[in-house]
Amino acid sequence: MVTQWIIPKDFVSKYSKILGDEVREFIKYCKIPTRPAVRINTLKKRVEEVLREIDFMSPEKIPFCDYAFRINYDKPGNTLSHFLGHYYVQDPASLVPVILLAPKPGEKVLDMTAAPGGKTTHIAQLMENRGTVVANDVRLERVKMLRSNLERMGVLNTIVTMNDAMSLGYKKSFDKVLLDAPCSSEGEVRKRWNALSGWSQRRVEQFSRVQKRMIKRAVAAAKPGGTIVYSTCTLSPEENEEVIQYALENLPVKIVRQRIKGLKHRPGLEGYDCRDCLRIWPQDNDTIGFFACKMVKTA
Amino acid sequence: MRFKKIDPEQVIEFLSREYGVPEKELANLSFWSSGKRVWASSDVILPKGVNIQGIGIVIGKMKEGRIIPSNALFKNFTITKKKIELRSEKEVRTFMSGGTIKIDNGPRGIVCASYNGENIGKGLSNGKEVLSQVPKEFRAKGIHIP
Repeated sequence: MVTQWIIPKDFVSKYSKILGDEVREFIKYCKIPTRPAVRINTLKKRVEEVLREIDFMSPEKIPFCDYAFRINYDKPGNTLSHFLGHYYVQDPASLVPVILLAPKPGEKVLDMTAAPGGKTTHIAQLMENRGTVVANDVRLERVKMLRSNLERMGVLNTIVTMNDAMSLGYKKSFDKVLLDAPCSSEGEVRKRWNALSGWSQRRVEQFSRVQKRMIKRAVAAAKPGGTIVYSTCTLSPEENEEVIQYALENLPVKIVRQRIKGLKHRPGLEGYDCRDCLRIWPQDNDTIGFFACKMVKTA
Repeated sequence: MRFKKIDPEQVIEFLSREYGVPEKELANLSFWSSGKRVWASSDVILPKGVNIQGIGIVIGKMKEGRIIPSNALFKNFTITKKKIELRSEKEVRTFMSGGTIKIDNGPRGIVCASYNGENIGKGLSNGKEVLSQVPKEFRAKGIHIP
């Protein structure tokens, strides 16, 4: 069966302006499904033990993460190891926000939009189940999914809350805050052929407004000197550089320049004051499209 | 949901006596109740003024002064009592899909099913048969067992 990928004309034309001739390569990758990858859950088992369990999947190490592997197996969610929480199925690009956040045992961390829990369980893993993670989401069905994944992965240091991230009232409470913002999900088109079916520039701009309200809350929640990581699985500048620019102009934050060895990433787009952001195009690492920026709260 | 911290001593004593959970595994945990549910977490700091939906994982439900253990308790802690060993991949698949396993003179009541040293989940035993009580969200058919 040939899947008819939905790639709106306006979408192609938007990215032609950004990428020039490279847009052909970008669109080509948008139509290639991603290869599955897994993050091994070191809260449950050592990497080498799980590697033995998943040997039949021919795992290949992801260059920038010692505990994540691409696999050659199309049903990683239907194995005993998965049910036992020995790994989490996750695209390599979505490891980036937590790698940038670099949570440590004993810290207090807020994950503002946590469901289904890929990044929360990654945070808890790096914290070795010590300290406190507050994992928030807005809808009950998403909160249930989150709790179910926390249970599967054996996460004990997490408090699940159900609130609208735009109205969270935390003030200077957290060492680290992750805002993996709701977005137009352009970067996910490789995972879902119809991810762009409802795409429009108007929708992108609606998300941008929501994201600016959320980043305000994220910065308020961080302690002075605390870290804030903003990420999306979209490539629209309105939902990425424009949101960071808004934060830089209106909130007490500055960008922390980051490089991740083994990951090809490009700077933020020209025309914004945020070249030190990480822009991950699908064609660069054979991942979904992604954007991430690490900031520190200055006051 | 409203959460109340509960006395760890009683919980630890019950879980180690009934299911042989090593006390040192539970020693640094906090225990909470919300309605009938009992939750276990590491030493977390609760946020104020937000709608809390969970703290750590649900380890059981209170019933007539006892804790009825949850599937999550068995999957995430060492269990040394009231345990049955599944004997084949076929039995694992049956158990994981919510089916019933025959056993010989096994323990009665809520039991922990394991396979190759891994705790698979919760079952209800009458000594001859164990009915899987793996929650629906974790059930699966035809899973791959390496």
